[in-house]
Amino acid sequence: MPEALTDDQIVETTAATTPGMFAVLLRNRVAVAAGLVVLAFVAVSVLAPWLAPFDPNLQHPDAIRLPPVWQSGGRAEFLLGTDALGRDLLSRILYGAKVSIGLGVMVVLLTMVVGTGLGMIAGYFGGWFDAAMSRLVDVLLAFPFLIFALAIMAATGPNLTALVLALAFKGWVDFYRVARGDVLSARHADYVTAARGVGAGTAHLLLREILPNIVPPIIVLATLRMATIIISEASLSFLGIGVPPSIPAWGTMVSDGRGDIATAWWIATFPGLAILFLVLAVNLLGEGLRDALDPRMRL
Amino acid sequence: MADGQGTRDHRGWTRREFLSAAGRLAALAVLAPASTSVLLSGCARGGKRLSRKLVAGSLSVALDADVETLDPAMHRSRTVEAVVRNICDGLVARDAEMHYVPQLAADWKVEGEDRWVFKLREGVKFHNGDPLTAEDVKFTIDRIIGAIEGLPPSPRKDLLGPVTGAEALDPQTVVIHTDGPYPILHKKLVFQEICPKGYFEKVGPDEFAKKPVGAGPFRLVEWSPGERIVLERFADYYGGSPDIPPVGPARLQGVIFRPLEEAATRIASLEAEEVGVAVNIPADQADGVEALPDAHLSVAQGTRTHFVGMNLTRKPFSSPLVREAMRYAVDPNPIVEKYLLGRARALPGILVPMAFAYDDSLPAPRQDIARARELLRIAGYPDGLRVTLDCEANDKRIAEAIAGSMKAAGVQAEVRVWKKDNLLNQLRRRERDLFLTSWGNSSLDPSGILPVLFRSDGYSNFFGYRNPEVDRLLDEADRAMSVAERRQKYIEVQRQLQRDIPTCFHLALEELYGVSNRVENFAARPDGMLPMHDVSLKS
Repeated sequence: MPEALTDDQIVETTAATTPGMFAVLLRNRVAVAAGLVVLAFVAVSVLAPWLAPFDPNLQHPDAIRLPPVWQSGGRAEFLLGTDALGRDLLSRILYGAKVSIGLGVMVVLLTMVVGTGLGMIAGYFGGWFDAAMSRLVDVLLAFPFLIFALAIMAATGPNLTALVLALAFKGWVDFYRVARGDVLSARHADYVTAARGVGAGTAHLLLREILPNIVPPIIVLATLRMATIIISEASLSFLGIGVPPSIPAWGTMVSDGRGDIATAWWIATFPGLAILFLVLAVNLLGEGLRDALDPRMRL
Repeated sequence: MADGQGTRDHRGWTRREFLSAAGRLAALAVLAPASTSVLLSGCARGGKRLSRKLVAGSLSVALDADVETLDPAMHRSRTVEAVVRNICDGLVARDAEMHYVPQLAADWKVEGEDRWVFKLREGVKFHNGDPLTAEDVKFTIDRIIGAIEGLPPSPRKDLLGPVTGAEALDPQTVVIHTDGPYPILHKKLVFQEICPKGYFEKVGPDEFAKKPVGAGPFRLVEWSPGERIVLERFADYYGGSPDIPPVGPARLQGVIFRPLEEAATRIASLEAEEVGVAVNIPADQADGVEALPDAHLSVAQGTRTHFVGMNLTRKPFSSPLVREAMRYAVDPNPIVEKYLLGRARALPGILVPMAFAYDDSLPAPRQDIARARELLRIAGYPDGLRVTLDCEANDKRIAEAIAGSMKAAGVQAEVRVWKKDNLLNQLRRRERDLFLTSWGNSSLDPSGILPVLFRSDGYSNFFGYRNPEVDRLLDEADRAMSVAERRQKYIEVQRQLQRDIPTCFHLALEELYGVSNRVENFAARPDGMLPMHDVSLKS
């Protein structure tokens, strides 16, 4: 990192590296494609109410288990067919994007803020706080996530608050560890020493000097965590303890359709593919971001 | 050092995380097409040694639930009863047409109002070699009604109504006393199996629950909870009831019960010939079973009623107007005809049409959107009602169909799914407002369902329903010596329930079993029992 003595210069330096970073990212065609797919999913999740042909929970008793339109028996108004209660699969998948992405973003933001904040404090000050937090983190790392989530959700029944807490329960640990490690090394970096020398306070040091320099790995981590969260949410919903049944979620849809897989393959397959494509895209985008943001990985 | 640690972790993390994400992704995305084969291989592993295929002479049966005990007196579960009934016989049994026939009893007569004298069959032996005597019958009855000190109370006590005790007159004669007349005692005895006093006292209740000994056609060989229950033919079996031919030892070498909670797994196991009988095929998957080349569907009229119940102790269902609105909120036709493919019947009340004293004058359930909305408006809900409909996982689809149907009437119900035991406990504590659950009544007598659900102190009065008139009628029906009088009492109870509306939607599902074409003499029964004594296998 170049030396930086004042705020303005830091901003400038950061700004100066940005085009280079984007250039690297844009050269990575896979990452660009993945980014476009992710953008498309985000757009779908926001625009679902306008894009979806039907209310996702509207049941059509006369159109049960209709195959997708290109199969014989399919009907034009149900492009991807219908499920066992006659609900339009396309509409449900579009609305399902909302749950997957919305929950993913919410949980990642929550864990990122909590984890990074605690990690920076622990890394900067060390001492008893660091020691206590690090032991807590060790304990959490040894905690089986799924069992914990199952216990919470079984006790409370499916509801969104408990789901977010269950998913966030361990997620912040990764951010904590990355932030703490990076702050530990940044604490004695020349630019921090210099800023301290010209009289910068602790808050200024942490937020204006150190934070901008540890953001890239945090962003990479957030992207990759996002993929894990989406899978975890889908897994919990698949087990029937994630999102409440009245909210269409991909995991629930796969679970609902698995009994019909021999006779109506489309009910479980399409939401399964949606999970596949979104998670794959997020992961590839994360890899691309890492290559672009983290020079250490560019070997 | 801490720094190096952090960096290494960070670098390694992305790779590791990517791999694990990729792995989980593969698992979930491929889950759809692969689920059947994954589950199948899981089963094959579980039962490799005994049931890789239908082992010659043995029949594997896929149950829809695990058993929590094998003690005939310590459960309230049909699955346990279906298994235990093969290990332990009772005084009375029912044949396939649900006629009551003597089993361990040779015959019986009623003396006066409150003395039932049972003559036992000669030469009946328990699996441990002990002869069955009147002392064992007395012990069994006394244990269930809680007359033996130091033993936990039996959840089957109320199934014996006003029985006050038993008395062994001689080794082959036992008298059962009731408090006042109890004309249906013999019908109630089909739910109780005779346990050996000597063996029970030797091993104690805990051990007995794991390794019960009875006088039934099969003896227990092995029980691995969650995996299998293995029974073996009992060579010294007395032969069973002469009213249910053939008489003699069981024809199968053994029976292996396997709990496979997923319906898709049961069907896949049937298709792979890993099991010969699969219980509880969901209505909407019945066509898949019928299409199997080597298996068929066996159908019986169900005796279990699914119902939507309401909590009368809390808003909004404390209001009779709201409850009446709920009655008109659901359209039974699409649920029965479309979602359940006609393999069910919507009922006006909790009793199934086969049951004794079924009131056929009650109006058939129908949807009346205008009336439901009007009633809700008068009750103070002009904008409709927002409620949660709680159900157990197996009933999720029906619950969603009901919720979908009620929308038009202004009732927005959000379905919430629980594990079965969890839900039942909440219902007994009356913590839920609107719920879909079910209660079986294989006795086909109102005494098997009306008191337990609707008496003020009913074991499963989920509604907080309290009507002294109903309590009185139920008590009187229990004691009524004439059939006509009993019928009248129960019909009056049904009319009271029709007025008070603790339950608003009722459904009787057909009992569907998938049966391999190699299995002979097995047929679905309305009572859900799985008697294996007469079943055989085609070679």
